[in-house]
Amino acid sequence: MSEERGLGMPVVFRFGAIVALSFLIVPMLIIVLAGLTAGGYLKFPPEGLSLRWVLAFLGLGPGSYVASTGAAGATTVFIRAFGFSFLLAALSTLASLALGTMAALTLTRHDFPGRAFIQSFFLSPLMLPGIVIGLALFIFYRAAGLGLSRSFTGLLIGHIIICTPFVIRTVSASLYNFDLSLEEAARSLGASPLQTFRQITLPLIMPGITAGSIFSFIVSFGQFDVTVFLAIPEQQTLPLTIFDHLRFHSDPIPAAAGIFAIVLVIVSLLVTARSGDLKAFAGFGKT
Amino acid sequence: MSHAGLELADVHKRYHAVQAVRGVSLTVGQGEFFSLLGPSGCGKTTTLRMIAGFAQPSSGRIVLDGQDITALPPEKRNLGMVFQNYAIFPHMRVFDNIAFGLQVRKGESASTAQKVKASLEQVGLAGYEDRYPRQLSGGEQQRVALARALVVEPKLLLLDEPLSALDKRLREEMKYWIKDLQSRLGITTVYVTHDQSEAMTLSDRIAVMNKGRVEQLGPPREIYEQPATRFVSGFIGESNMLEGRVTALEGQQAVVALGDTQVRARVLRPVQVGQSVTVMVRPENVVLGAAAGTLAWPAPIGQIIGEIYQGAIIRYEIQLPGNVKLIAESHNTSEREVFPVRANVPAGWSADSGVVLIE
Repeated sequence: MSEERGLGMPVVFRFGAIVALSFLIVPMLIIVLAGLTAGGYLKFPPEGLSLRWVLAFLGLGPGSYVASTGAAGATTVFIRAFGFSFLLAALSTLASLALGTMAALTLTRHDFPGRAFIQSFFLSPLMLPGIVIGLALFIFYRAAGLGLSRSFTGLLIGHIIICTPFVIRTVSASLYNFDLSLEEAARSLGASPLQTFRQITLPLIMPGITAGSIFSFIVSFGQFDVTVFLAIPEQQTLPLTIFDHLRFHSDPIPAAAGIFAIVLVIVSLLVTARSGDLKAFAGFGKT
Repeated sequence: MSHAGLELADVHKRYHAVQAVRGVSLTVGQGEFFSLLGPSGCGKTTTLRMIAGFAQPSSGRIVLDGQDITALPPEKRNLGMVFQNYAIFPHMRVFDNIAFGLQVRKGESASTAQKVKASLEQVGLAGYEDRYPRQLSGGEQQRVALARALVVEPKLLLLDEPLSALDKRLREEMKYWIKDLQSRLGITTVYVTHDQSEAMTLSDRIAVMNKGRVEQLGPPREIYEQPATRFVSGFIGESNMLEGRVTALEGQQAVVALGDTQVRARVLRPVQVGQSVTVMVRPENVVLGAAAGTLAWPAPIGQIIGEIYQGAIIRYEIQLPGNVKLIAESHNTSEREVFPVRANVPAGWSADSGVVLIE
């Protein structure tokens, strides 16, 4: 609570923060520049700048990596992967929002035996390595014989498991300082439980829900290790496509795909983060 | 009070092992201003929450306007409530806050705007429609909360310590304002507070609660002048509590021995000679000196052992024979008798203003 926030920090801390931030940002700059190269290889520094590989990624120029599955014509493997990842992330986010919000409401508002255990259990995907979750699901799907193995539903379930804890955390943060008398006031004024939730609770926990969607979307969109185990033959996600491509090719199309992924994330952050919603994730945001 | 507005019949509330409310029965008349008064944890808030429908009684019935509402959810009870922290919806303008009750009941209609306007005028906030709650002062939020509760024309108004979040000066002002508004509208009101002066000023009748029970129920004057129990006399105002034993009964009076000192007090409940009792006397009823000499019974002689000057009031500490301490307050008028510290003076009270308490 110093009146000049951030100025009271020791110089060492500020230096450390700058170094840490650089480590986060520099790789992104390198990817963007590598994707804008005029040369034919994925390397840094770029050999001159051009939009050649960006256009190739979009299927609009020479060097397009035409989908091997044929019928799609000029649509590249990357565009399809990008679209598929987008769809997967959107569906995972929607499902995680519904499940995570309900779980957060129950966990913050009700006291029941085993609550602490269930809370840690729901948040455990945040702590477990993705490889463990992926392998566990892979074996489970095979053993259960429900047709989830190598299916879109199976993959979606995997992503929902990874994404839901983020929603639970952000929405719980909004609910911890939620004033219950607001809901009681609404009820006493004649609002049904559903009207109360839609008109009072939901708007007030929206910062948590928005922050949860952002994290959920980003996590699903960039997910690799769980996806490796659950991927379906006909459809590949963007991270898997990039990985495959890098194994057999040396052109900079993956870097161009990276540019689009980064732009997507930055746009979604700009659209939603202005209201300070991200603070809710850290748990110090006000509702 | 032609017919009952609200009736509670033997209402209990148990939370796991805790008995929060133990058999509360009371009737609030049409248009009456009724207070539930007591210390924290006495069950007054739980009782209010059961009336509002936020808590279910473990047993007992709640009847509003002849209709049993015990099992009804809050939204079906048609009552208005003002919360301790006002609970103004922070994401809505003042207009939408007040219109909320109208809108969820019947949907937005042509009369909504008119009603909101009229209700804002009623609470003295005309023109505040477009403000957001964070732009309002505590007193203004309080008025918005009242307007929001009243605009739906509820059968019953519930107020949960509505003044406790305001500063002292505003609290005094709002106290008279609420009283005035309530009597103008003639709405049946249940008011919960731990502040005895609020309850005394506002209420037609008060229920003093302690440990989940109603200890005494009556008009402020009765509660103050004829407390039923030690708890009530201790909680409401200041009092001398003198432990003694009944030595004689004379009509409505008892002679009580406080060690070597004999005093008299009024008997409100049956007592026996020889019974241990407490004599309760308000400090303002203790008279000293010549005034004590004119009492109908021989006042004991005590020694003044302390004097506190409080401006309008002088407070004396007196020691009666047998190590009995007594507090007396006299108004600091120009013709008052002056008593120096360590003086021996007669100290007593009119037998009717002392009350014998047995529990």
